[in-house]
Order: sequence, then C-alpha cells, then structure tokens
Amino acid sequence: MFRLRVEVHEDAHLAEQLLRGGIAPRHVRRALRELRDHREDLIAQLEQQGLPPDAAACEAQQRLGQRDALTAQMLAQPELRSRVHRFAWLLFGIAPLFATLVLSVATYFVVIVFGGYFALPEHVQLQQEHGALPVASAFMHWIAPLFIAVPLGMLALRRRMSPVWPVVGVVVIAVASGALAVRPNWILIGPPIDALRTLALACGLLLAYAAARARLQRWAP
Amino acid sequence: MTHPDRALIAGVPELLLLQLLAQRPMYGYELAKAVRVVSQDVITLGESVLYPTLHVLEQRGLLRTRERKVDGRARIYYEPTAKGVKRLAALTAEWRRISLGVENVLAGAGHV
Repeated sequence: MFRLRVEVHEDAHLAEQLLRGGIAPRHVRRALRELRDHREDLIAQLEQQGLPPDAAACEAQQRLGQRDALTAQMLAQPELRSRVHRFAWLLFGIAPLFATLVLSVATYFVVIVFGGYFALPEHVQLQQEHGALPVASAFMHWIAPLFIAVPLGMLALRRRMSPVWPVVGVVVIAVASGALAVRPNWILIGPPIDALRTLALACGLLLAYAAARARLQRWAP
Repeated sequence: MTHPDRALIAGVPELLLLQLLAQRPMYGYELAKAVRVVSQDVITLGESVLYPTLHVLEQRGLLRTRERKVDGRARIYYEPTAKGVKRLAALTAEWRRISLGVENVLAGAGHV
C-alpha cells in the first residue's frame, strides 16, 4: 500500500514537472502509462527470478533510478512541447485582440439584423440609447471579454503555463475592450481608451486568475 | 572531405530502436530487453532515454503507435512508418561508413 502511494505521488510529481516544462499532455499521459507498465513488467520479471514482491519492487525502483533523468531528457526535446507553449505569443498576445473584434462585430450584426434596424427609414437617425444597442454595448464591453478570458485562463492553468502569458492575455483583452467604442452606426477599436473600464476588467480578470491558480497549487504535488 | 551525420552518435538509440522495430512491433519494456539481449549486454537503454526517444521518433513521423491487448493488458506497440524505414536505411549506411573508417584507422594506426 505504501509503495503504491509513493508511486502515485512520484507519477503525479513527474506529470506536473513535464506539464510545467511545456510537454504536450498526450506525451505526458503516455509516458506515465509506459513507465508504470515498465515498472510492473520489471517487478514481474524479478519475481519470476525468485525475488519476494517487496524486494522485487525495491530492486525495480533502484534499477529504474530517479525520474529526474527522464524529466530532463523529455524537456530537452523541443518536438515534445505542446503547440500552446510553442505559440503562446500568438494565443495570448494576438488571438484575444482578434477574438474581441470578431465577437464585437458579430454582436453588432446580430443587433442590427434582429433588432429590425434595417427596416428603419433612412432619415431616422439611430440614437445611442435606442433599443438593444446599450445591451449590446454592455455585452461587448463586459461579457464578451469573459468569453475570451475564461477559456484562455483555464487553458493556461491546465497546461501549467507561466503566469506571464495569462497576464499578457488579460492586458490585451482589457485594453481591447477599453478601446471598443460602440456607436449607433458603427463600432471601432481604437483610441481613446476607456481607462476605467480597462482597469476594472484587468483587475477583475487578474484576481480571478490568481485565485484559480492558488487553488490549483494547493492541490498540486 | 566527408561530412558524417552530426547526429550520428546522438542518434545511436534511434538507429537501434528503428532496427529492432523494423523486425517486429514491440512495446517499451520489450524493446529495452531486446536492446540488451541483442547487443549481448553491451548496450542498455534506460527508460530515461528509451521513452523520450520513442516519443520523438513518433512525433517526427518515423514511428507509429498501436494499442494492443496482450495477456489482458493494453500495451502501446511501436512500429516504423515508411519514412522510418527510409531513415533506418540512411542511418545504417552512415553508421557502416563511419565504423568502417574507424576500423581502418584502428587497423592502420601502426603503419603511420
């Protein structure tokens, strides 16, 4: 029982180190499985040779040695790194900006098409406070950033990424949202930036990320 | 002047694994044992070299994996792809060329 607990702890520790090093989860999962099988096969072979189970387990552990060597070897292979780690700058630096733009334009068109604004006579000017526009505006400013930030934050936590990347992502999302201006007949991402909105979003998202990260670290080996 | 593959020495595990797997698909432990037995205990591939190398070869498209159940246990078997077979031929030729060169030097060292 004690041996099993030590092995489970060692496996969890190894998985954590590999994930933090950027190794793709599928390689981590498979390596753990192969190592477990390898150990079991070795123990079975030693038992066949006449060693009692505990001695066989100790001998197998000694022969297999420390996991640090395997960790170092795997981390030294750039090909085993996940795409998320390799293209973090794209995912956390560029994609949020693009996603903010796409979500905003999509929301705007939904409002225009389903809000019946196409049916308005040409001489009627759409007012800022008219109909669904304030709701759409609030959605684009406050809810859409969450739709982008939450999956990115979860991905960063699951892949044990350096906090630098989620922070970059949050800053990009907050600035993009702060720079988003919704007007009756157009939307725009550009200056002037609403500093208060940017700051509020950035602080809220960073606090949520920090809390989730702290919670995860309590569970990590 | 010849330019041997720089990765030749670092590629010894790759050569051994591809050669053994070209004979029949094997799983990790079986491969480690095969390397030791076939090399007559001269070469031992520890798990810290074996598994990262297998994963890298698979990632490069030189090996593919298949899961098979043997004696009630699911095993991950490795086998070379067509690209892996080509790579094996290239590595083998390179190894033979280098080893012949080294042998010649060793044999003729006294005549210089």
